[in-house]
Amino acid sequence: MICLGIESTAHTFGVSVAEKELEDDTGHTFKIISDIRDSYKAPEGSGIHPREAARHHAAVCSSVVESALKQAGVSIEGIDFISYSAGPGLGPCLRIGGIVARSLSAYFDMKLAAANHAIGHIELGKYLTSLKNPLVLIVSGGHTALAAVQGERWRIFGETLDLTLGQLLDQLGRFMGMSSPAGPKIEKLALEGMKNGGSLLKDLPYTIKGNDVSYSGLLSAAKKLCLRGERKEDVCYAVQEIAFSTLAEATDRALAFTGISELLITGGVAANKRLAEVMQEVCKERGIRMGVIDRQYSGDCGAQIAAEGFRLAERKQFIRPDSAFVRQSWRLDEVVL
Amino acid sequence: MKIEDWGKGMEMNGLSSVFQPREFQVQIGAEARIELSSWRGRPVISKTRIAKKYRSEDLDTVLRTRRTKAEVEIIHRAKIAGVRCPDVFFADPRTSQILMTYVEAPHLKDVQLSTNAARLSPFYIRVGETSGRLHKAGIIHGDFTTKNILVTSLEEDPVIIDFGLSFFSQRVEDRAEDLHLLEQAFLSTLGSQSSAKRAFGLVLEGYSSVVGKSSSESVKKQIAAIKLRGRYARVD
Repeated sequence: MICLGIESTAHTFGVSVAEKELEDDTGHTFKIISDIRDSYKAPEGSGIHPREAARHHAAVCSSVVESALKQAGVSIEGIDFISYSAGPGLGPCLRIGGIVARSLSAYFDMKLAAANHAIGHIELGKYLTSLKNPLVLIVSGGHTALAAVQGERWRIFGETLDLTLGQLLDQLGRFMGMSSPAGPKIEKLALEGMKNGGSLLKDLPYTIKGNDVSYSGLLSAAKKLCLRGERKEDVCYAVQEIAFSTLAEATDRALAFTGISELLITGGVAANKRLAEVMQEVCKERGIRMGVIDRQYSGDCGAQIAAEGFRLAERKQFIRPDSAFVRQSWRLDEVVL
Repeated sequence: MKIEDWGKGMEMNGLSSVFQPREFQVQIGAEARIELSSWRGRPVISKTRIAKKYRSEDLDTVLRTRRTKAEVEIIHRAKIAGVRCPDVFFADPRTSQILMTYVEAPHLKDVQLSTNAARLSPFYIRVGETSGRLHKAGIIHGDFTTKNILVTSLEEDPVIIDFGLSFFSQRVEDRAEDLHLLEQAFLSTLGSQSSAKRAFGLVLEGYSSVVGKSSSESVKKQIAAIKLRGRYARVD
């Protein structure tokens, strides 16, 4: 079966053509044929403006769909069904993807599947790492959570109480005058701060409540360090170490609690090498297999929406274009699998 | 000074002969290793915080030292507040080890599964009174689940263990989080919404009798607010 996946939850408008045989549990037949993205770029020092991002998506959507089909060498008639990101995300952005999906589906009489963006990150991660039943650490601008399937739902075994890891890094970066996404730049600076940054660790709050993490206090304290005149490199290093360590502690406990023997890291921040290193230590001590989603597909993309689309298609969970919805708030543990 | 030498000459009369190693599984939790050990002839629990390779050594040392000290301090304060909890015999922040009383009693979780709800009612009130005493003393347990509440007898106050995640706070938010965790534990053990609600209602009754009506009302309100939290939770 061939699926057209449409992603538009935040800064990226992405379309992917992907193929998979239904009822194939191994995922061996899953193939990304094309994956095209066009991202809204926020001005330096500021974040995503939802309306501006939606304008960007509206302007590029038809050409992105076209090039995804062209690159895949598939005509629109060759597509079996459409999967679109129905949430969670920024309302104006979601609506553009929703409109594109609805129009194509109605005009060409194609089946339509409403994908949860977070589960998309997870499903794509599972295919690409060949992990079957992992504890998932999803880290991005929209999510920071530990989840595993229990019964017929994803259950959360720890999450952020305020900012996500992506937001922490973006907002710190913005404060330092970078443009979003700031993650890669902070990672680079942190490498240079490795020598001296250790002395700042004691000045930053290490917050873990139960099995949940909190980053708002860390962000405020880090901003204060910047104002105090500490080197950016050192602050970046210390913030990363504290943030990743709290997350590692929560992951360690969740692994102990669930007894699960695989860990999958997915979402935009999965591209951070230091995070993978830290988590590798956690897994090594427990003798557990770890898989990190390929850097190329860690960020938002149409392929993740297609991946979740196949899961929905296998359960025949299609919807009619006139009941296609978008939801700004849609927790992954609400979805009945 | 080595642990073995500590307390020499403080031999309790006759107690050393009482100690017989019982069946006890070494527990390696996410944070610490819990073993049955002996101290001056008496059975004790040894809790050692494990070094974590996933965080930088500096940070790891700071955290383990800080948490070991805090745990001992909090147990001490809890006792002053009239809460039953283990006696600390020895603590060494450098090796992050604590030796404390081995309380041989089942968890509330196991008791809940084997005892009918009506018989447990007075005990739930005692649990509420106990957490009220902790909060009144400014202590937030931090991991107030049914596995950390021991039942020596249904007619006695519970023994509270594992102050590893405890901290001092007077904030309504922290108090509410503490109790919310217990409610979640009830829900997962008792299965049905209604029986968990009934049990937790009794806890709140006991809680209210210690901290007073206005304090308990604001905590209750905050618990309701917490339930609506979490990213992308919808209010409807």
